[in-house]
Amino acid sequence: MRRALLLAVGLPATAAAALAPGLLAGRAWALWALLPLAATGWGWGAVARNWRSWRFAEREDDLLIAHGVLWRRQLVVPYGRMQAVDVSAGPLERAFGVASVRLHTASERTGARIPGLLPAEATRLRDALAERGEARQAGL
Amino acid sequence: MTGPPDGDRRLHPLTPLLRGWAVVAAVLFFVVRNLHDLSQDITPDRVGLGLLLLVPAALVYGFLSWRFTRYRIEPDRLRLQSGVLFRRTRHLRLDRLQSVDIVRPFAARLTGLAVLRFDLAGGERDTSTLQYLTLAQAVELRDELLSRASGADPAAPRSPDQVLFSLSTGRLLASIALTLGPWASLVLIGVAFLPTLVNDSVTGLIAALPVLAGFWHTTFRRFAESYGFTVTESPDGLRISSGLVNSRHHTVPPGRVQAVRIDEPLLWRRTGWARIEINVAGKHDSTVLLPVAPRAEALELLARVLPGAAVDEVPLTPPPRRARWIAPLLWSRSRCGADGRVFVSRKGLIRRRTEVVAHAKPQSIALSQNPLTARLRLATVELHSTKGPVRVTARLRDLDEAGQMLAEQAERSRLGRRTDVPARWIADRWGPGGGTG
Repeated sequence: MRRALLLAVGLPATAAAALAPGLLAGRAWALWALLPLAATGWGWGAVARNWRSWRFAEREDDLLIAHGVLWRRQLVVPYGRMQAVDVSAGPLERAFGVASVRLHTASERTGARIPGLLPAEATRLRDALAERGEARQAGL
Repeated sequence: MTGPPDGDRRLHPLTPLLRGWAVVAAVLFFVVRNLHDLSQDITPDRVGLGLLLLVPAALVYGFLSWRFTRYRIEPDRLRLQSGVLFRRTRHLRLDRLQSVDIVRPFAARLTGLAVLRFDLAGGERDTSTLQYLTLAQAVELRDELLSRASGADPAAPRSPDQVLFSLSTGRLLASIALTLGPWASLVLIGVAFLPTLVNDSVTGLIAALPVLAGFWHTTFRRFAESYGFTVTESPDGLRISSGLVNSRHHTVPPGRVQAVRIDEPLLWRRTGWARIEINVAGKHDSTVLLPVAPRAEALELLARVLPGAAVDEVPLTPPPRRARWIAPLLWSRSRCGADGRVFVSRKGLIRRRTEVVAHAKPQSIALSQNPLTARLRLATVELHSTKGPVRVTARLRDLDEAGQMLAEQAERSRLGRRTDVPARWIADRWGPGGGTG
């Protein structure tokens, strides 16, 4: 899905970079188009790596989420701390048949999210998390 | 005014007048702001007619809304009923009650009244108020609700409150004088006034206005808010009261403090003063536990809100030497460490800042790296706390150490939660006999 977004931004940028100087200042300047093209190509690989980097583990007492290639983040959310679990799917996500699961704790900085799950898996995860959260609910 | 002990009760009859005051002020503000446009339309007749219609209408509405607003204490909840046309009933579950504050805006202080504010676990939407009650009623209701919420017997005799800390006006003034903000503002005001002095123009005056506002913010407001700051210990937790014009009395129940920050600004270092701010679940304002106090006194009070925390005795370690590539100056001042009860992180060259969180409290824990730190095999660990001024982070730690910290902290918080202070702390501490359902 992000690849689609990337192409949607990257290709017009390439075209714009090729056409504008190419028409205004001569053919050679159209080589500038290589820059966005290269960025798009690199982005293509980066999106793939980023996508592969998302992983989560349902451990005994907490949920572990890890993601990121350049900016890496590992997050541990104890089940007892979860206040709500959402499954959401935006228009783009629906078009590609995926959904994301979001966890909310009393802290706004948690920002726990697992994107790109199949809807059935997302629902299963939500129910499993909600159940464990219920069992281990702790006061604030 | 008050009904039978467990029946419905009403607010103080002066309520509509005090609330109406706000409406009158808003209308006046609107009229004054639009005076220029309205001036053709406003004639004495119209004003008189308007008042003739508006005043009785406002009075009747005020009276009716007062008539229909009532509250009642039930064994496990407080019921609030309001609304003239649309009836609204709110049930505040006492076991979700985070705190009860008494707020006294200036107008209420003049008339001896007070506002009672309830914070429930879960966020801003869950704040309700009862305005206005007499001060005595407010205190009584607060004590009753808090002792019911804590599971104690409301009829049991209460031990008198004990004053732990009170701030003298002299020290408050000295502490404000020892911060940079007011002086910087004064210098800026002086600079802005220079053109006025030289050629009598008003530009300087206009330029000085925002700076004056800043000066107000850094100096007078801090003075007014911290004036008469007192911390007392009561069975329901620490009572904090302060305020020169508007006064506030709020209660921090034991175990509700999520995270603590101790600040020691450069200029206070010589006098050995510190300032403490806290994150309390369900409360987003009034987060100051101590505006200024000697460090030893501050730590003593800290040990009361975080039981068993001995912040100065926690062994702290610096980040690895290679962190100096990223933070050449701050590197040597950052420390973090943990003992059996709390995690402590210290940082800051000019203003020394110590962040403390009990193991049971973090909501979640994150380890993060950016491209630069990833290259140096460094990572930052953050222990997420509830909304508030305090953010507990351990920056630029060795990656392996950070990973270990993440695992250890997850384990500690798992164990810590089992031994944490329960929600109904008194009933659970002294067995079910102490509780009233």
